[in-house]
Amino acid sequence: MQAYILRRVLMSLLVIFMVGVITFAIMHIVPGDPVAMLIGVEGGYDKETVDRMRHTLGLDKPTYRQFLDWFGGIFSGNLGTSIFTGHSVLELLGPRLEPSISLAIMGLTLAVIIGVPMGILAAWNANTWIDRAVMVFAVLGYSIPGFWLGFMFIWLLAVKLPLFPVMGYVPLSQGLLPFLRSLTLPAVTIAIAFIALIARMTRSSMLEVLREDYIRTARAKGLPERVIMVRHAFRPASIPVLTIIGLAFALAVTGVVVTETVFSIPGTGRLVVDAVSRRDFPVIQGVMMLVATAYVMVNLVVDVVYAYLDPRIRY
Amino acid sequence: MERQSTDLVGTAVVRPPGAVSRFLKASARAFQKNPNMLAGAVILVVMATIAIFAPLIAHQDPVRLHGADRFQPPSSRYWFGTDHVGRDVYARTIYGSRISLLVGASVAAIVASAGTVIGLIAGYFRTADSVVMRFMDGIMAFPTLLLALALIALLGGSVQNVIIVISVVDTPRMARVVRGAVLMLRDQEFITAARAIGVGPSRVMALHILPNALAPIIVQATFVFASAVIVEASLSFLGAGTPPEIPTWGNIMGVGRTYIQIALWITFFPGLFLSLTALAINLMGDGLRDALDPRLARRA
Repeated sequence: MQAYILRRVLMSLLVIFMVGVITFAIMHIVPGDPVAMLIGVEGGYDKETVDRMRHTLGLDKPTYRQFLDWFGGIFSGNLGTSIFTGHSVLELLGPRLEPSISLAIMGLTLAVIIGVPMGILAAWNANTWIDRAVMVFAVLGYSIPGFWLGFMFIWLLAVKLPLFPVMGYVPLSQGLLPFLRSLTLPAVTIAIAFIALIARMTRSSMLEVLREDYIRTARAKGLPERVIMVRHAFRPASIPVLTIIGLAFALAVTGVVVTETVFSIPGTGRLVVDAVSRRDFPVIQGVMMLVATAYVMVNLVVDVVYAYLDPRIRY
Repeated sequence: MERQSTDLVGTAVVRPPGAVSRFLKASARAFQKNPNMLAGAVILVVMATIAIFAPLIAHQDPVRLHGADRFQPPSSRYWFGTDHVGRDVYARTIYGSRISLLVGASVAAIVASAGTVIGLIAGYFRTADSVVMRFMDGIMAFPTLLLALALIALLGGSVQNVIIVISVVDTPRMARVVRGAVLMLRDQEFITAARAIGVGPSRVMALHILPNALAPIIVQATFVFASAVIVEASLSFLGAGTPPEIPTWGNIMGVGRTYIQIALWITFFPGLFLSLTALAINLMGDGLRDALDPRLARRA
């Protein structure tokens, strides 16, 4: 077990290094001179100013030194500085994390609460209309783009029936109820794709387990079907479902970026989209590095937990 | 002389009979047995027809401004209504199918080719494996849309760049699928036999491994197609994809975003077309996977 964990940790570090190389490379194949981009005008500055700027930015050093400085900086918490506002990326991120993380957590929670029972129900009633309805929902949830669904929710539940605010975000500090109200529609929007994914995974995993001999034994000794489903079948079946947590993280990031635009929520997603439209590369890079590292870490934890729960997996 | 004889043996005797034809038969059977898959195929054919004959089907010019008819709701003149500058949403939606299908099909083709080559090399040559796959892991560590956005910021928005960017983002997963298939095949007896009689690596890969890895490649390619259509629309919707003057589903919805409270139709129709297209391709992908992967089909 320890050898396995060590191997997975080393591999994750290697991937994070690769993530760094890719992120750094993206900045360095930017067409045009970064100094010219910073100053804003081509020419009009004497060579001395440009050289001094180059020096302060460390652009006169060899490429590998620049990479090491930048990569080392990240681990001491320096994610870079916005070309556009002059603020550090961490300063920019700070106030934007609350809405994004709240949104992701709320969406994921909803998805688990709804998706898992749907999957169990479908497996329980395999090949009946219930099963087919769940599967149809799963394909639909996976195919319909979240942002379009978000608009339909806004139109129906905020414009036609004014139950929820049309857009915007109310921070938690202004009260729990307004906070939840402002996040309900975006969270449901994000959740739909997850619900589809989780329901599908739970169903197929349950079907696999339900064919085991011990399930037949449980039935033979007359245990109620409910007990068999929940205690005997779902517990082992839930282990493979764990593996999609990594995928869920990636989906959450995508969902957050798009959904925040639909509902005008001032979160991390909006920050990225704005940075892309201004070509503010340090901000894009900082967020990429942060998200990818978090993603690798999430997957590392999932793998280790998975190996712990299912010892057959260690290879 | 010697080369010729090994060639002959390699192709005529050792090659497992009919991997490709078995694949084609299984696909054909899937269409007959699976009504969902047939429905998906029909929708996709309709969409492709709309895209090809767009100028005939859209009776209006998609970029013409009807200044007097801004925000017109759907009517017999403007079937899907008009937008904030009076452009016909119906014509724009019809033309939008062209970009979506072009991007989806191009990305699927590029990813299938690039992913296959990378996956074959990684799976077949131990030395290349760890380096190539760690790099692929690096790319996969970025959520699809985030990396696509960053690359678009770098390259600038155009249809061509959107295709390149989504291909880069989607290739690693294909490479991993192909590599997995190669690893399963490479130690099988018919491969060992082919190598034992002196068939070179490129021939083994092209004639013996590739035909047997076709099923997972095709299934993965359909899912790439569907996701590329959605990612393209998402990028355009966020204002980071195709230039705004080109009518694409994402661009139309990006405009509609601002006017959702007064003109739902600007967003509703292109989104409906987008959802139908993605649904059709996913239905086909699911059907193919069930038909071609006996391990999964058993569950259904």
